[in-house]
Amino acid sequence: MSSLSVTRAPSQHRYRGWVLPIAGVALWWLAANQGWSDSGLLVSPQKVAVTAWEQVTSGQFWRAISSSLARNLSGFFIGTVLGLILGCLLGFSRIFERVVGPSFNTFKQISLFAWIPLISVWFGLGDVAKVVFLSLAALVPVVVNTCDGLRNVPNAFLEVAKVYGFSRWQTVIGVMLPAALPSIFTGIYLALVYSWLATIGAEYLLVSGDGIGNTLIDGSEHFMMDLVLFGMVIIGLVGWGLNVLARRLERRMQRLYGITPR
Amino acid sequence: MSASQALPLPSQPGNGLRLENISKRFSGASSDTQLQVLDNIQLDIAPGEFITIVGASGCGKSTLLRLILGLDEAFDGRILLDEKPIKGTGLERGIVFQDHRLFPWLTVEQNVAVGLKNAPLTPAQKRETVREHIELVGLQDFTESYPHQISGGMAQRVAIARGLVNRPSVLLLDEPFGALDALTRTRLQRELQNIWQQEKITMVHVTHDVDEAVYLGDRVVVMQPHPGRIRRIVDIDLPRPRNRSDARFIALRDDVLSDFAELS
Repeated sequence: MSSLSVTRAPSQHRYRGWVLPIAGVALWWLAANQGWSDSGLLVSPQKVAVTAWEQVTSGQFWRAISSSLARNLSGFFIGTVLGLILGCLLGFSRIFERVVGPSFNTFKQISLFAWIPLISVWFGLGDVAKVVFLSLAALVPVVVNTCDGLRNVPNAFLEVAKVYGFSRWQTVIGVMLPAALPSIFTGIYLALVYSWLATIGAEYLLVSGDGIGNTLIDGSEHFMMDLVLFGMVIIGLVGWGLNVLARRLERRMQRLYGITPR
Repeated sequence: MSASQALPLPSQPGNGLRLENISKRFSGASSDTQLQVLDNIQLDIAPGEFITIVGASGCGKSTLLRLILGLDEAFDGRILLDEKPIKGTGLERGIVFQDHRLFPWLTVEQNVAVGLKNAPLTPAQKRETVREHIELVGLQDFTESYPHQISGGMAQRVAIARGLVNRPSVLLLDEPFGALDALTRTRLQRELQNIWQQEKITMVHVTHDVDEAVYLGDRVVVMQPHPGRIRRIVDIDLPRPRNRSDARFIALRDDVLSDFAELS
Protein backbone atom coordinates (compact mmCIF):
# COMPACT_ATOMS: atom_id res chain seq x y z
CA MET A 1 0.00 0.00 0.00
CA SER A 2 2.92 2.28 0.72
CA SER A 3 3.49 2.84 -2.99
CA LEU A 4 0.05 4.45 -3.21
CA SER A 5 0.47 6.94 -0.39
CA VAL A 6 1.47 10.38 -1.55
CA THR A 7 2.96 13.07 0.62
CA ARG A 8 0.27 15.71 0.63
CA ALA A 9 1.39 19.29 0.54
CA PRO A 10 -0.26 21.55 3.12
CA SER A 11 -3.45 22.96 1.61
CA GLN A 12 -2.11 26.49 1.32
CA HIS A 13 0.65 25.26 -0.99
CA ARG A 14 -1.83 23.56 -3.25
CA TYR A 15 -3.40 26.84 -4.31
CA ARG A 16 -0.16 28.59 -5.18
CA GLY A 17 -0.44 27.45 -8.79
CA TRP A 18 -3.64 29.51 -9.10
CA VAL A 19 -2.03 32.82 -8.10
CA LEU A 20 -0.61 33.67 -11.52
CA PRO A 21 -3.71 32.86 -13.64
CA ILE A 22 -6.02 34.71 -11.23
CA ALA A 23 -3.74 37.75 -11.17
CA GLY A 24 -3.60 37.61 -14.99
CA VAL A 25 -7.38 37.55 -15.35
CA ALA A 26 -7.71 40.35 -12.78
CA LEU A 27 -5.23 42.50 -14.71
CA TRP A 28 -7.02 41.71 -17.96
CA TRP A 29 -10.36 42.63 -16.39
CA LEU A 30 -8.92 45.92 -15.14
CA ALA A 31 -7.34 46.73 -18.50
CA ALA A 32 -10.56 46.02 -20.39
CA ASN A 33 -12.92 47.80 -18.00
CA GLN A 34 -10.83 50.85 -17.09
CA GLY A 35 -10.40 51.83 -20.72
CA TRP A 36 -6.59 51.44 -20.72
CA SER A 37 -6.78 50.76 -24.42
CA ASP A 38 -9.38 51.75 -26.93
CA SER A 39 -8.50 48.95 -29.33
CA GLY A 40 -11.46 46.82 -30.30
CA LEU A 41 -9.19 43.81 -30.09
CA LEU A 42 -9.01 44.04 -26.30
CA VAL A 43 -12.18 42.29 -25.22
CA SER A 44 -13.22 41.98 -21.61
CA PRO A 45 -13.45 38.70 -19.69
CA GLN A 46 -17.23 39.24 -19.41
CA LYS A 47 -17.49 39.42 -23.19
CA VAL A 48 -15.65 36.10 -23.52
CA ALA A 49 -17.99 34.54 -20.96
CA VAL A 50 -21.06 35.84 -22.83
CA THR A 51 -19.71 34.50 -26.14
CA ALA A 52 -18.99 31.15 -24.49
CA TRP A 53 -22.59 31.03 -23.25
CA GLU A 54 -23.93 31.90 -26.73
CA GLN A 55 -21.73 29.25 -28.35
CA VAL A 56 -22.90 26.60 -25.94
CA THR A 57 -26.62 27.46 -26.02
CA SER A 58 -26.79 27.96 -29.79
CA GLY A 59 -25.33 24.49 -30.37
CA GLN A 60 -22.40 25.82 -32.40
CA PHE A 61 -19.95 24.78 -29.71
CA TRP A 62 -21.28 21.21 -29.57
CA ARG A 63 -21.12 20.88 -33.34
CA ALA A 64 -17.50 22.11 -33.33
CA ILE A 65 -16.28 20.04 -30.41
CA SER A 66 -17.99 16.84 -31.55
CA SER A 67 -16.51 17.16 -35.07
CA SER A 68 -13.07 17.82 -33.62
CA LEU A 69 -13.21 14.98 -31.14
CA ALA A 70 -14.65 12.57 -33.71
CA ARG A 71 -11.82 13.17 -36.15
CA ASN A 72 -9.29 13.25 -33.33
CA LEU A 73 -10.38 9.84 -32.10
CA SER A 74 -10.68 8.26 -35.55
CA GLY A 75 -7.21 9.52 -36.49
CA PHE A 76 -5.82 8.37 -33.15
CA PHE A 77 -7.44 4.96 -33.54
CA ILE A 78 -6.31 4.36 -37.15
CA GLY A 79 -2.81 5.66 -36.45
CA THR A 80 -2.44 3.57 -33.30
CA VAL A 81 -3.63 0.34 -34.91
CA LEU A 82 -1.38 0.81 -37.95
CA GLY A 83 1.44 1.90 -35.62
CA LEU A 84 1.10 -1.25 -33.53
CA ILE A 85 1.19 -3.46 -36.61
CA LEU A 86 4.19 -1.67 -38.12
CA GLY A 87 5.96 -1.46 -34.73
CA CYS A 88 5.49 -5.20 -34.11
CA LEU A 89 6.76 -6.07 -37.59
CA LEU A 90 9.82 -3.88 -37.06
CA GLY A 91 10.33 -5.24 -33.55
CA PHE A 92 9.91 -8.93 -34.31
CA SER A 93 11.30 -9.39 -37.79
CA ARG A 94 14.97 -8.73 -38.48
CA ILE A 95 14.39 -8.89 -42.22
CA PHE A 96 11.48 -6.45 -42.09
CA GLU A 97 13.57 -4.15 -39.88
CA ARG A 98 16.44 -4.20 -42.39
CA VAL A 99 14.19 -3.53 -45.37
CA VAL A 100 11.72 -1.04 -43.89
CA GLY A 101 13.63 0.39 -40.91
CA PRO A 102 15.86 2.88 -42.78
CA SER A 103 12.91 4.19 -44.82
CA PHE A 104 10.80 4.64 -41.72
CA ASN A 105 13.62 6.42 -39.90
CA THR A 106 13.94 8.86 -42.79
CA PHE A 107 10.18 9.23 -43.02
CA LYS A 108 9.82 10.19 -39.36
CA GLN A 109 12.38 12.99 -39.75
CA ILE A 110 10.02 14.82 -42.09
CA SER A 111 8.07 17.39 -40.11
CA LEU A 112 4.45 16.38 -39.90
CA PHE A 113 3.26 19.70 -41.31
CA ALA A 114 5.38 19.21 -44.43
CA TRP A 115 2.88 16.52 -45.39
CA ILE A 116 0.00 19.01 -45.57
CA PRO A 117 0.52 20.08 -49.22
CA LEU A 118 0.70 16.47 -50.42
CA ILE A 119 -2.24 15.39 -48.31
CA SER A 120 -4.40 18.27 -49.56
CA VAL A 121 -3.56 17.43 -53.17
CA TRP A 122 -4.37 13.74 -52.71
CA PHE A 123 -7.27 13.91 -50.29
CA GLY A 124 -8.63 17.45 -50.56
CA LEU A 125 -9.49 19.57 -47.56
CA GLY A 126 -12.26 17.46 -46.05
CA ASP A 127 -12.44 14.97 -43.24
CA VAL A 128 -10.51 12.26 -45.09
CA ALA A 129 -7.48 14.52 -45.46
CA LYS A 130 -7.65 15.54 -41.80
CA VAL A 131 -7.94 11.97 -40.56
CA VAL A 132 -5.00 10.92 -42.76
CA PHE A 133 -2.94 13.73 -41.24
CA LEU A 134 -3.99 12.77 -37.71
CA SER A 135 -3.24 9.12 -38.30
CA LEU A 136 0.28 10.06 -39.36
CA ALA A 137 0.70 12.10 -36.17
CA ALA A 138 -0.43 9.18 -34.01
CA LEU A 139 1.42 6.53 -36.02
CA VAL A 140 5.00 7.71 -35.50
CA PRO A 141 5.24 7.59 -31.67
CA VAL A 142 3.42 4.25 -31.55
CA VAL A 143 5.78 2.65 -34.09
CA VAL A 144 8.91 4.02 -32.42
CA ASN A 145 7.96 2.99 -28.88
CA THR A 146 6.52 -0.41 -29.84
CA CYS A 147 9.62 -1.30 -31.82
CA ASP A 148 11.95 -0.03 -29.06
CA GLY A 149 10.03 -1.93 -26.40
CA LEU A 150 10.24 -5.20 -28.31
CA ARG A 151 13.92 -4.73 -29.17
CA ASN A 152 14.86 -3.95 -25.58
CA VAL A 153 13.28 -6.96 -23.88
CA PRO A 154 15.95 -7.95 -21.31
CA ASN A 155 18.01 -10.92 -22.44
CA ALA A 156 17.63 -12.28 -18.88
CA PHE A 157 13.90 -12.84 -19.57
CA LEU A 158 14.53 -14.43 -22.96
CA GLU A 159 16.95 -16.87 -21.33
CA VAL A 160 14.26 -17.88 -18.83
CA ALA A 161 11.93 -18.59 -21.76
CA LYS A 162 14.66 -20.67 -23.41
CA VAL A 163 15.32 -22.65 -20.21
CA TYR A 164 11.66 -23.63 -19.98
CA GLY A 165 11.47 -24.60 -23.62
CA PHE A 166 9.14 -21.81 -24.77
CA SER A 167 8.34 -21.95 -28.47
CA ARG A 168 8.84 -18.80 -30.57
CA TRP A 169 5.13 -18.07 -30.26
CA GLN A 170 5.06 -18.65 -26.48
CA THR A 171 8.05 -16.33 -26.13
CA VAL A 172 6.33 -13.60 -28.16
CA ILE A 173 3.00 -13.82 -26.30
CA GLY A 174 4.29 -14.75 -22.86
CA VAL A 175 7.49 -12.72 -22.59
CA MET A 176 8.19 -10.17 -25.32
CA LEU A 177 4.79 -8.48 -25.55
CA PRO A 178 4.25 -8.18 -21.77
CA ALA A 179 7.84 -6.99 -21.27
CA ALA A 180 7.35 -4.35 -23.99
CA LEU A 181 3.90 -3.28 -22.79
CA PRO A 182 5.00 -0.25 -20.71
CA SER A 183 6.94 1.10 -23.69
CA ILE A 184 4.06 0.36 -26.10
CA PHE A 185 1.76 2.21 -23.75
CA THR A 186 4.05 5.24 -23.67
CA GLY A 187 3.73 5.32 -27.47
CA ILE A 188 -0.07 5.24 -27.29
CA TYR A 189 -0.04 7.94 -24.64
CA LEU A 190 2.08 10.17 -26.89
CA ALA A 191 -0.19 9.37 -29.84
CA LEU A 192 -3.20 10.64 -27.89
CA VAL A 193 -1.41 13.89 -27.02
CA TYR A 194 0.04 14.43 -30.52
CA SER A 195 -3.22 13.64 -32.29
CA TRP A 196 -5.05 16.39 -30.41
CA LEU A 197 -2.33 18.90 -31.29
CA ALA A 198 -2.54 17.70 -34.88
CA THR A 199 -6.35 17.97 -34.87
CA ILE A 200 -6.14 21.72 -34.35
CA GLY A 201 -3.29 21.94 -36.86
CA ALA A 202 -5.32 20.04 -39.44
CA GLU A 203 -8.41 22.16 -38.95
CA TYR A 204 -6.33 25.30 -39.20
CA LEU A 205 -4.43 24.30 -42.33
CA LEU A 206 -7.04 22.21 -44.14
CA VAL A 207 -9.87 24.69 -43.73
CA SER A 208 -13.30 23.23 -44.34
CA GLY A 209 -16.13 21.92 -42.20
CA ASP A 210 -16.72 22.24 -38.48
CA GLY A 211 -14.28 22.05 -35.64
CA ILE A 212 -12.72 23.93 -32.79
CA GLY A 213 -9.88 24.99 -35.10
CA ASN A 214 -12.49 26.48 -37.45
CA THR A 215 -13.99 28.38 -34.51
CA LEU A 216 -10.58 29.98 -34.05
CA ILE A 217 -10.34 30.88 -37.74
CA ASP A 218 -13.84 32.38 -37.74
CA GLY A 219 -12.94 34.46 -34.72
CA SER A 220 -9.70 35.74 -36.16
CA GLU A 221 -11.20 36.49 -39.61
CA HIS A 222 -14.00 38.53 -38.08
CA PHE A 223 -11.74 40.14 -35.46
CA MET A 224 -13.85 38.50 -32.76
CA MET A 225 -11.20 38.06 -30.10
CA ASP A 226 -13.79 36.77 -27.63
CA LEU A 227 -14.43 33.80 -29.92
CA VAL A 228 -10.69 33.20 -30.40
CA LEU A 229 -10.08 33.22 -26.65
CA PHE A 230 -13.03 30.92 -26.05
CA GLY A 231 -11.64 28.46 -28.62
CA MET A 232 -8.20 28.55 -27.02
CA VAL A 233 -9.61 27.79 -23.59
CA ILE A 234 -11.54 24.80 -24.98
CA ILE A 235 -8.46 23.45 -26.82
CA GLY A 236 -6.47 23.72 -23.62
CA LEU A 237 -9.14 22.00 -21.56
CA VAL A 238 -9.57 19.09 -23.98
CA GLY A 239 -5.79 18.64 -24.22
CA TRP A 240 -5.57 18.65 -20.46
CA GLY A 241 -8.41 16.13 -20.18
CA LEU A 242 -6.82 13.73 -22.69
CA ASN A 243 -3.50 14.07 -20.90
CA VAL A 244 -5.02 13.26 -17.51
CA LEU A 245 -6.85 10.26 -18.96
CA ALA A 246 -3.74 8.87 -20.65
CA ARG A 247 -1.53 9.51 -17.64
CA ARG A 248 -3.96 7.74 -15.35
CA LEU A 249 -3.98 4.66 -17.59
CA GLU A 250 -0.17 4.79 -17.81
CA ARG A 251 0.15 4.97 -14.01
CA ARG A 252 -2.09 1.95 -13.61
CA MET A 253 0.06 0.05 -16.08
CA GLN A 254 3.25 1.07 -14.29
CA ARG A 255 1.87 0.10 -10.90
CA LEU A 256 1.05 -3.33 -12.25
CA TYR A 257 4.66 -3.60 -13.41
CA GLY A 258 6.09 -2.29 -10.15
CA ILE A 259 7.55 0.80 -11.80
CA THR A 260 7.43 3.75 -9.42
CA PRO A 261 5.51 6.57 -11.07
CA ARG A 262 7.65 9.59 -11.85
CA MET B 1 5.32 -33.27 4.23
CA SER B 2 7.39 -34.10 1.25
CA ALA B 3 6.35 -32.56 -2.02
CA SER B 4 7.65 -35.59 -3.84
CA GLN B 5 4.88 -37.95 -2.75
CA ALA B 6 2.06 -36.68 -4.97
CA LEU B 7 4.22 -35.69 -7.89
CA PRO B 8 3.68 -37.36 -11.22
CA LEU B 9 7.23 -36.73 -12.46
CA PRO B 10 9.67 -38.37 -10.04
CA SER B 11 13.26 -37.69 -11.01
CA GLN B 12 15.00 -40.84 -12.18
CA PRO B 13 18.20 -41.51 -10.28
CA GLY B 14 20.65 -42.30 -13.04
CA ASN B 15 24.34 -41.97 -13.48
CA GLY B 16 24.48 -38.32 -12.57
CA LEU B 17 26.20 -35.50 -14.36
CA ARG B 18 29.55 -35.95 -16.03
CA LEU B 19 31.77 -33.15 -17.34
CA GLU B 20 34.44 -34.42 -19.73
CA ASN B 21 37.37 -32.18 -20.77
CA ILE B 22 35.35 -29.00 -20.88
CA SER B 23 37.21 -26.07 -22.43
CA LYS B 24 35.77 -22.75 -23.47
CA ARG B 25 37.33 -19.80 -25.26
CA PHE B 26 35.89 -16.36 -25.84
CA SER B 27 37.31 -14.46 -28.80
CA GLY B 28 38.66 -11.06 -27.87
CA ALA B 29 38.45 -7.71 -29.62
CA SER B 30 40.75 -8.75 -32.44
CA SER B 31 40.48 -12.16 -34.05
CA ASP B 32 43.89 -13.41 -32.81
CA THR B 33 43.31 -12.64 -29.12
CA GLN B 34 41.39 -15.41 -27.47
CA LEU B 35 40.49 -15.60 -23.82
CA GLN B 36 40.64 -19.06 -22.34
CA VAL B 37 37.77 -19.10 -19.83
CA LEU B 38 37.67 -22.79 -18.99
CA ASP B 39 40.54 -25.22 -19.35
CA ASN B 40 39.93 -28.94 -19.33
CA ILE B 41 37.32 -29.26 -16.59
CA GLN B 42 36.72 -32.84 -15.43
CA LEU B 43 34.05 -33.55 -12.89
CA ASP B 44 31.75 -36.44 -12.01
CA ILE B 45 28.70 -35.55 -9.98
CA ALA B 46 26.74 -38.40 -8.37
CA PRO B 47 22.92 -38.41 -8.45
CA GLY B 48 21.57 -36.58 -5.43
CA GLU B 49 24.92 -35.02 -4.63
CA PHE B 50 25.24 -31.40 -3.49
CA ILE B 51 28.24 -29.91 -5.27
CA THR B 52 29.38 -26.38 -4.57
CA ILE B 53 31.76 -24.59 -6.90
CA VAL B 54 33.68 -21.75 -5.33
CA GLY B 55 36.12 -19.37 -6.93
CA ALA B 56 37.10 -15.75 -7.37
CA SER B 57 35.35 -13.73 -10.04
CA GLY B 58 36.68 -14.51 -13.49
CA CYS B 59 37.39 -18.18 -12.78
CA GLY B 60 34.63 -19.24 -15.19
CA LYS B 61 32.32 -20.83 -12.64
CA SER B 62 29.21 -19.08 -13.95
CA THR B 63 30.24 -19.83 -17.53
CA LEU B 64 30.51 -23.51 -16.60
CA LEU B 65 26.97 -23.40 -15.22
CA ARG B 66 25.66 -21.81 -18.44
CA LEU B 67 27.27 -24.63 -20.41
CA ILE B 68 25.56 -27.27 -18.24
CA LEU B 69 22.29 -25.37 -18.56
CA GLY B 70 22.62 -25.44 -22.34
CA LEU B 71 22.41 -21.69 -22.94
CA ASP B 72 25.87 -21.72 -24.50
CA GLU B 73 26.66 -24.62 -26.80
CA ALA B 74 30.01 -23.46 -28.18
CA PHE B 75 32.60 -25.35 -26.15
CA ASP B 76 34.99 -28.28 -26.38
CA GLY B 77 34.37 -31.48 -24.46
CA ARG B 78 31.23 -33.31 -23.47
CA ILE B 79 28.55 -32.87 -20.84
CA LEU B 80 26.66 -36.08 -20.07
CA LEU B 81 23.52 -36.34 -18.00
CA ASP B 82 22.55 -39.95 -17.24
CA GLU B 83 25.10 -40.96 -19.87
CA LYS B 84 23.43 -38.94 -22.62
CA PRO B 85 25.09 -35.79 -24.01
CA ILE B 86 23.01 -32.71 -23.28
CA LYS B 87 21.60 -30.77 -26.19
CA GLY B 88 20.40 -27.21 -25.63
CA THR B 89 18.27 -26.40 -22.64
CA GLY B 90 16.00 -29.04 -21.12
CA LEU B 91 13.42 -29.35 -18.39
CA GLU B 92 15.58 -31.97 -16.63
CA ARG B 93 18.04 -29.17 -15.78
CA GLY B 94 16.61 -26.41 -13.59
CA ILE B 95 18.27 -23.09 -12.81
CA VAL B 96 18.14 -20.41 -10.15
CA PHE B 97 19.83 -17.22 -11.35
CA GLN B 98 21.47 -14.64 -9.10
CA ASP B 99 18.96 -11.98 -10.13
CA HIS B 100 15.73 -13.87 -9.53
CA ARG B 101 14.49 -13.19 -13.10
CA LEU B 102 10.84 -13.43 -12.17
CA PHE B 103 8.49 -11.86 -14.70
CA PRO B 104 7.24 -8.62 -13.12
CA TRP B 105 3.83 -8.89 -14.82
CA LEU B 106 3.03 -12.28 -13.27
CA THR B 107 2.04 -13.18 -9.72
CA VAL B 108 4.12 -15.53 -7.55
CA GLU B 109 1.88 -18.42 -8.52
CA GLN B 110 2.00 -17.61 -12.25
CA ASN B 111 5.78 -17.20 -12.10
CA VAL B 112 6.22 -20.67 -10.63
CA ALA B 113 3.82 -22.01 -13.27
CA VAL B 114 6.16 -20.63 -15.99
CA GLY B 115 8.39 -23.62 -15.18
CA LEU B 116 5.59 -26.02 -16.08
CA LYS B 117 4.47 -24.25 -19.27
CA ASN B 118 5.67 -27.11 -21.48
CA ALA B 119 5.55 -29.95 -18.96
CA PRO B 120 3.45 -32.98 -19.96
CA LEU B 121 0.85 -32.48 -17.21
CA THR B 122 -2.87 -31.72 -17.14
CA PRO B 123 -3.87 -28.23 -15.98
CA ALA B 124 -5.10 -29.68 -12.67
CA GLN B 125 -1.79 -31.47 -12.11
CA LYS B 126 0.06 -28.26 -12.92
CA ARG B 127 -1.97 -26.28 -10.38
CA GLU B 128 -1.35 -28.90 -7.72
CA THR B 129 2.39 -29.09 -8.44
CA VAL B 130 2.70 -25.30 -8.36
CA ARG B 131 0.84 -25.18 -5.04
CA GLU B 132 3.11 -27.83 -3.52
CA HIS B 133 6.25 -26.01 -4.53
CA ILE B 134 5.01 -22.67 -3.24
CA GLU B 135 4.38 -24.44 0.06
CA LEU B 136 7.83 -26.00 -0.11
CA VAL B 137 9.39 -22.53 -0.06
CA GLY B 138 6.87 -21.28 2.51
CA LEU B 139 5.12 -18.64 0.39
CA GLN B 140 1.55 -19.94 0.45
CA ASP B 141 0.35 -16.56 1.78
CA PHE B 142 1.85 -14.69 -1.17
CA THR B 143 0.58 -16.62 -4.20
CA GLU B 144 -1.27 -13.58 -5.57
CA SER B 145 1.55 -11.06 -4.91
CA TYR B 146 3.63 -9.52 -7.67
CA PRO B 147 7.44 -9.68 -7.53
CA HIS B 148 7.78 -5.98 -6.63
CA GLN B 149 5.51 -6.50 -3.63
CA ILE B 150 7.76 -9.09 -1.96
CA SER B 151 11.29 -8.89 -0.54
CA GLY B 152 14.45 -9.96 -2.37
CA GLY B 153 14.71 -13.08 -0.22
CA MET B 154 11.12 -14.04 -0.99
CA ALA B 155 11.66 -13.43 -4.70
CA GLN B 156 14.66 -15.77 -4.61
CA ARG B 157 12.47 -18.41 -2.91
CA VAL B 158 9.97 -18.08 -5.74
CA ALA B 159 12.85 -18.55 -8.19
CA ILE B 160 13.88 -21.72 -6.32
CA ALA B 161 10.29 -23.00 -6.49
CA ARG B 162 10.23 -22.25 -10.24
CA GLY B 163 13.55 -24.08 -10.65
CA LEU B 164 12.27 -27.15 -8.79
CA VAL B 165 8.72 -27.31 -10.10
CA ASN B 166 9.64 -29.55 -13.05
CA ARG B 167 11.32 -32.01 -10.71
CA PRO B 168 14.58 -31.64 -12.66
CA SER B 169 17.27 -34.25 -12.06
CA VAL B 170 19.80 -31.41 -11.61
CA LEU B 171 19.20 -27.99 -10.12
CA LEU B 172 21.84 -25.42 -11.05
CA LEU B 173 22.22 -22.41 -8.76
CA ASP B 174 24.24 -19.41 -9.96
CA GLU B 175 25.17 -17.40 -6.85
CA PRO B 176 21.50 -17.41 -5.85
CA PHE B 177 22.06 -15.63 -2.54
CA GLY B 178 24.77 -13.23 -3.73
CA ALA B 179 22.52 -10.16 -3.74
CA LEU B 180 20.84 -10.80 -0.37
CA ASP B 181 21.68 -9.40 3.05
CA ALA B 182 23.64 -11.63 5.47
CA LEU B 183 20.68 -12.64 7.66
CA THR B 184 18.43 -13.56 4.75
CA ARG B 185 21.31 -15.38 3.10
CA THR B 186 21.94 -17.56 6.17
CA ARG B 187 18.24 -18.39 6.46
CA LEU B 188 17.93 -19.32 2.79
CA GLN B 189 21.06 -21.49 2.94
CA ARG B 190 19.41 -23.48 5.72
CA GLU B 191 16.15 -23.70 3.77
CA LEU B 192 17.93 -24.80 0.60
CA GLN B 193 19.66 -27.56 2.55
CA ASN B 194 16.30 -28.72 3.94
CA ILE B 195 14.76 -28.71 0.48
CA TRP B 196 17.66 -30.72 -0.90
CA GLN B 197 17.39 -33.30 1.90
CA GLN B 198 13.66 -33.56 1.21
CA GLU B 199 13.78 -33.69 -2.58
CA LYS B 200 17.10 -35.47 -3.16
CA ILE B 201 17.78 -33.56 -6.36
CA THR B 202 21.36 -33.17 -7.59
CA MET B 203 22.47 -29.61 -6.86
CA VAL B 204 25.29 -27.70 -8.53
CA HIS B 205 25.67 -24.48 -6.60
CA VAL B 206 28.09 -21.77 -7.72
CA THR B 207 29.18 -19.18 -5.17
CA HIS B 208 32.07 -16.89 -4.28
CA ASP B 209 31.34 -17.34 -0.57
CA VAL B 210 33.63 -20.02 0.91
CA ASP B 211 31.55 -20.28 4.08
CA GLU B 212 28.42 -20.96 2.00
CA ALA B 213 30.25 -23.51 -0.15
CA VAL B 214 31.46 -25.50 2.89
CA TYR B 215 28.10 -25.19 4.65
CA LEU B 216 26.10 -26.59 1.73
CA GLY B 217 28.36 -28.91 -0.26
CA ASP B 218 29.03 -32.63 -0.05
CA ARG B 219 32.09 -31.66 -2.03
CA VAL B 220 33.53 -28.21 -2.65
CA VAL B 221 35.11 -27.66 -6.06
CA VAL B 222 37.70 -24.89 -5.77
CA MET B 223 38.35 -23.13 -9.06
CA GLN B 224 41.08 -20.70 -9.98
CA PRO B 225 41.25 -18.20 -12.85
CA HIS B 226 43.45 -17.49 -15.89
CA PRO B 227 42.46 -19.87 -17.30
CA GLY B 228 39.50 -21.15 -15.31
CA ARG B 229 40.32 -24.61 -14.00
CA ILE B 230 39.71 -26.86 -11.02
CA ARG B 231 42.34 -26.32 -8.34
CA ARG B 232 41.15 -29.11 -6.08
CA ILE B 233 38.06 -30.83 -4.76
CA VAL B 234 37.46 -30.89 -0.99
CA ASP B 235 35.22 -33.54 0.61
CA ILE B 236 33.02 -32.09 3.32
CA ASP B 237 32.32 -35.10 5.47
CA LEU B 238 30.22 -33.41 8.12
CA PRO B 239 26.76 -34.45 9.36
CA ARG B 240 23.78 -32.26 8.49
CA PRO B 241 22.41 -29.88 9.53
CA ARG B 242 25.83 -28.35 9.83
CA ASN B 243 26.99 -26.15 12.63
CA ARG B 244 29.15 -23.20 11.68
CA SER B 245 30.85 -23.06 15.08
CA ASP B 246 31.84 -26.74 14.97
CA ALA B 247 35.66 -27.03 15.09
CA ARG B 248 35.72 -29.37 12.07
CA PHE B 249 33.57 -26.97 10.05
CA ILE B 250 35.93 -24.11 10.88
CA ALA B 251 38.97 -26.21 10.02
CA LEU B 252 37.55 -27.16 6.60
CA ARG B 253 36.50 -23.61 5.86
CA ASP B 254 39.95 -22.27 6.78
CA ASP B 255 41.51 -24.95 4.64
CA VAL B 256 39.50 -23.84 1.59
CA LEU B 257 40.09 -20.18 2.40
CA SER B 258 43.84 -20.80 2.42
CA ASP B 259 43.61 -21.54 -1.33
CA PHE B 260 42.47 -18.01 -1.90
CA ALA B 261 45.09 -16.51 0.41
CA GLU B 262 47.78 -18.07 -1.81
CA LEU B 263 46.16 -16.83 -4.97
CA SER B 264 45.89 -13.20 -3.98
